[in-house]
Amino acid sequence: MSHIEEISIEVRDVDALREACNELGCDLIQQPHYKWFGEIIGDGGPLPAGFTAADMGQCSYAIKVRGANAETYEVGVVQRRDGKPGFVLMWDSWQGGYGLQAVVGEKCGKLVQSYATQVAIKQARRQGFAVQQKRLANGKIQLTMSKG
Amino acid sequence: MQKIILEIDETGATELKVVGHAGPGCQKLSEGISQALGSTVSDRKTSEFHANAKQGQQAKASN
Repeated sequence: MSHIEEISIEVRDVDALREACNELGCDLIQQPHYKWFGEIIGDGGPLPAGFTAADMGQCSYAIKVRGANAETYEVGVVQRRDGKPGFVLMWDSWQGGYGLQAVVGEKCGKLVQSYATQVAIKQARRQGFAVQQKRLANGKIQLTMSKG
Repeated sequence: MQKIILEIDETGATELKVVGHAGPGCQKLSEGISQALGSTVSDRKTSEFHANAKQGQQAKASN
């Protein structure tokens, strides 16, 4: 082994995000609003850089759980405002989003995991790597990429 | 054989390891993938990375 990197995932590839949503049983829909409580009551933690309370509920895409009931909240996919390309994910975590968290994970962790998997496989193949995917007992997805 | 192992946990935390490729060239190998994923938060070079870089310097010095 020659080097080990920790990477902070940044959502930039909409096609990969669509595939990730599909893997989790969700749909990525291009629409200007996502479902949430409707007002901030001060318990949601800090907003992403460049966002204010007035921005909640607005998005470029919404992620909807397939077959969800009318109460279930949605994830908003919103253009970043910190000068970097790509999107931030925004959602209302109150009461687990009434079923949303069970699907996309706490803090959208499962969604990000699935997204990163899609991006990595796509890029690795583009670079000529063969890719093997495995789900480990601890819940991690392991991709082994090899060539030569 | 050049190999990269990527592990992504259920919080989205991601670790990339380059295996079996000694020396500074390993960064070139993984660059495309790490850039496609996002931004590198930390990058730990192992003794294998430095050992081969040092051998390269010694080879240059003796020529």
